[in-house]
Amino acid sequence: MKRWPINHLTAEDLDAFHSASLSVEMREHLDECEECRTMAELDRMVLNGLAALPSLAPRDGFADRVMAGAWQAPPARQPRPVPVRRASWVRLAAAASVIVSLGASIAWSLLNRDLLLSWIHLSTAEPGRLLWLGVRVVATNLTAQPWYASLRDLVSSPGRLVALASGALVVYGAALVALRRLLTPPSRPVPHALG
Amino acid sequence: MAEPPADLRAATDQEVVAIARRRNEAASRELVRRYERPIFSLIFRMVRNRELAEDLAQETFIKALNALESYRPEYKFSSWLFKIANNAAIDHLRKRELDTLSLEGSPHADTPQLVEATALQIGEKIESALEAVEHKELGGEIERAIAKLRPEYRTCILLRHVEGRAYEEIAEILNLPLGTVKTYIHRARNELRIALAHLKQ
Repeated sequence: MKRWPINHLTAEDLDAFHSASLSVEMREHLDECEECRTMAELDRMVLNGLAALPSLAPRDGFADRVMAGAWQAPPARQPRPVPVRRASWVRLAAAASVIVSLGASIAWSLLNRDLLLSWIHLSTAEPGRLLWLGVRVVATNLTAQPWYASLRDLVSSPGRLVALASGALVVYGAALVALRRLLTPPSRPVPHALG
Repeated sequence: MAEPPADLRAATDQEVVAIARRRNEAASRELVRRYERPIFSLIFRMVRNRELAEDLAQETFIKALNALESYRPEYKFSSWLFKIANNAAIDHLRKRELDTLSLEGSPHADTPQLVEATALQIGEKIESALEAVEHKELGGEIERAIAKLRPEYRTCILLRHVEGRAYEEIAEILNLPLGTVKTYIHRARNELRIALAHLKQ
């Protein structure tokens, strides 16, 4: 430890003083310096007082209480709840009803084949027509917009298209990196010990 | 209480721990017998409440005995035990502020039975009545001064100058760098010197 401006006793000097291994230089200083002498004597009193502090005892039966806690049998495990099994006749009835429903469905389909085919035709043709109509309406609306021509010009050359796609990719990548940094947990683990 | 066999008393900590690991009651009791006083003393001087100190000391031993499998024999058993005890005391201190020390009993004790139950049981170091008075005066002053130290200074000074542990061992117990431990002890001694200066005069 640095001694400045006066060579007063340091913490190491105090330890050396107690173990009677203080250097000659510091012993001479101690003879002259009232402040350090008082400090060293007070320190000796503190250390003697600490060393004389009595050992404290817990009340009688402490070991028994510890052993009772430590040797306590682990809590009995609760038996896992067994799922309630339905009666077998219920399952049998459910299976029978499924088979009967399937059979009835097949029989009805065979007897009403024409009606079924007309339904199928109607259900596939009409949605397709409606979908195509919707696409045409959206496309017409889009091309009628005032900004459509400038957008078409912008992406008309392959070079521009590539530049645009690259820019979008860069922005996407940067967003991913930022998100990853935000979600990363702290690198230093929280110190802990048993207890 | 059943006394552990004589050969256990002569065994080293590591040997007793090896037997206690096999759920041997006599060996476990021997470990409690060896360390109940130092562990209780440390915790009591940290939390300054007898009943609480007993609970925390009991918790310390129960944890240790149930976790003997995780104890690594290359470390001192006492260091491992002090570490558990210190953690228990510090955890408690973080949760609540405690009252000043009373050598005569808990300040919350409102019946003579409770006062007696919470009063300290001093060890065998005091020989005569005169010495008892002197020791009690100086000891009481020191106990009060220790109680006013910051908890980390308190643990360091108790482990070093009451339990006689080496600086390196304290650093291991408290998971602190050696230099920090030395600084804490130096500062704690400085504060104790200031607190006890009037006794010198």
